Amino acid sequence: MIEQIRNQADALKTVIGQQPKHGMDLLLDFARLYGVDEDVENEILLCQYELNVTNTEGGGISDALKIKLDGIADAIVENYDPAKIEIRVQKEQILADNVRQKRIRNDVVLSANNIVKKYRKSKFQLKADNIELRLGEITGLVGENATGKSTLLKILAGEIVPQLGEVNYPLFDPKNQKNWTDLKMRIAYVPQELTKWEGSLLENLAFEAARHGIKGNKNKVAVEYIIQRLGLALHTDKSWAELSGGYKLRFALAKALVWHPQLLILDEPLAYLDIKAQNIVLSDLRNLAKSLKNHLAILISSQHLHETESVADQMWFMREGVLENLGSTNDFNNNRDYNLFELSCALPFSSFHQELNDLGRIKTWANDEIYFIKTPLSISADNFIDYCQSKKIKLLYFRDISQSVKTKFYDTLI
Amino acid sequence: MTHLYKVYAPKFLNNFDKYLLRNYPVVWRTQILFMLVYSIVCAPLLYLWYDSYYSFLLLGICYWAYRQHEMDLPFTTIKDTLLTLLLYSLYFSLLLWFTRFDSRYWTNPNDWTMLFSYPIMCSLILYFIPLFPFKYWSVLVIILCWLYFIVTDEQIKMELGFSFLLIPLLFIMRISISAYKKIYPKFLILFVSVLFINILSVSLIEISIKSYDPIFYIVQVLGVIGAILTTYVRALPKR
Repeated sequence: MIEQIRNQADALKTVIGQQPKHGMDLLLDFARLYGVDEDVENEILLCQYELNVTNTEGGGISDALKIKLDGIADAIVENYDPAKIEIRVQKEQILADNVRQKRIRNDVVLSANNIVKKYRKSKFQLKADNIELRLGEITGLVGENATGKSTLLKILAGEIVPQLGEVNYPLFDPKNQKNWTDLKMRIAYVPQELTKWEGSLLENLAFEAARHGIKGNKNKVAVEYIIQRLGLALHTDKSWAELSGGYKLRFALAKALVWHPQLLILDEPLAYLDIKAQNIVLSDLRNLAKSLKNHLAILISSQHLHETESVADQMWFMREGVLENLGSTNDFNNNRDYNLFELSCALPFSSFHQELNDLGRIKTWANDEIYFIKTPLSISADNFIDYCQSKKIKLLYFRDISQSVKTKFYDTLI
Repeated sequence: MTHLYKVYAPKFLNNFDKYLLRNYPVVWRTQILFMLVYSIVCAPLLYLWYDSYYSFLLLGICYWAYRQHEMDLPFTTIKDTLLTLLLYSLYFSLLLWFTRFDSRYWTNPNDWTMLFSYPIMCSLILYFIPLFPFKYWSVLVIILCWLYFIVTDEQIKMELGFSFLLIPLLFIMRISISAYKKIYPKFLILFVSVLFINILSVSLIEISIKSYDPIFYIVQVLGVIGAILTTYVRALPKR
């Protein structure tokens, strides 16, 4: 076995020499498989950052970096110990189980009751009750436009004050003294409208980390790590005006994440991100929230409903200013008496509706090109797809949304 | 993006700046390192060549004030506010100490309290510049008021006085009539501020000759309390 691993490491060294970026990705996978601790992976991530910074043209690799990476590959082989890896895998399994069973410290970070916010010149009124955010949990907030999502996030982040009700931060402020100068240093809030910043991206991140107590070499490592994770390596010397909307948002996220906050409030963070970046950000948020070392409570508002649902532990829904706590994402709509499918196909809606006559008691409606079908529980998604195939209906897109918060958007039709 | 004052600085200075950034963020934000080097090392050299220390220095201080305004005051604790004020004061103290014998600028060069009192006043004005709600022209106005306040030479004061008259004119020329209507209240506040600071500066210069006057100290204490309160109020949720 060890010979096989050594051969793989030698092959990797060759690939790194010829195609550094690809080689480093492979080395990262190699470290995940055979490395005995996570530090090796972090070291490779930092090397990736170094490569991006020193080699912006995408060409070769410096001798020093090559020697370093070869050293890492050799160290993985030398330290390879199946017993240790077995222990690591078991440890990860235990951690994952603990997280699943919520045995991690899940203190309440934020709680709020009977929140009411009115505006003098508008009839709009925001009402929210029984709010609780816990460490290690991601909460998704969804709702139609102009229903007060951003206002609620601002209230919870301590940016604006409600007319009634109170927001408490039991973890940061157990005596409820409301020392806002300290509290604001512990709440990370990324608003929808990003504020302009001066100086370079690197300076800003280092400054943000330093003023939250991450100093010296730890500051350098924290900044380089977050730059690498959020794909900002080629933009470190750029100013605000030189960055696109997506990168400005990534920077704002980096600024919020670099100092390991325990409460992170994000207002529409996926809005300007491409699909790849959305996945990276969401996966990072999930890992961060569940991380046993620095676990945190995350509240994220988004119109990207399915993506948010996929990472959230609980969901909130807002309609006309009123917040509804939908509870755990796993349990949502468990007691329903219907299934709901969302699809698009080549047929016009009227023809499609006729084709479904044989299915019996179903309800259909269309929202532009997207069709919705409500069926009894006896017709599952698999049954429905089989039926469409038997009728030669070509489905272009299909999703079972029976247990999705999306049903809340159509509950008047359901 | 790198600023010119960093481009022309020696490498060890830039490295020290990075060290400050990673270890002492409040000190780094003030950019006091570069100010000290440029004003206390470079400006005296220029003074030997051209007989006016302040003509170069004031330009530098204006740029410094503008940079501080650009960088904004990120959310800080009261401790950070006091440290910022202390650093600004330290800079102005050193500056005054270097120039204390030049009677063209200072009416009372042998008055050692000047080394403490004036720097606190100057640092307070510098501190409040990033917090001032209006941009560009308002910053310029504050800087000019500030210069008007610290410089006692009659000729320079007169020139600065003319600049004050020009500012509202420039302000009106820069905007359209419709925009002017929208920002009229701001313009009014700006105009009142100019008048207020003008009167204040004149009174303070009058009392600077007898700088042990308690009013001078009261103004300073109120200024420091104001800075602390501002930090506190900025952190509070808005209504």
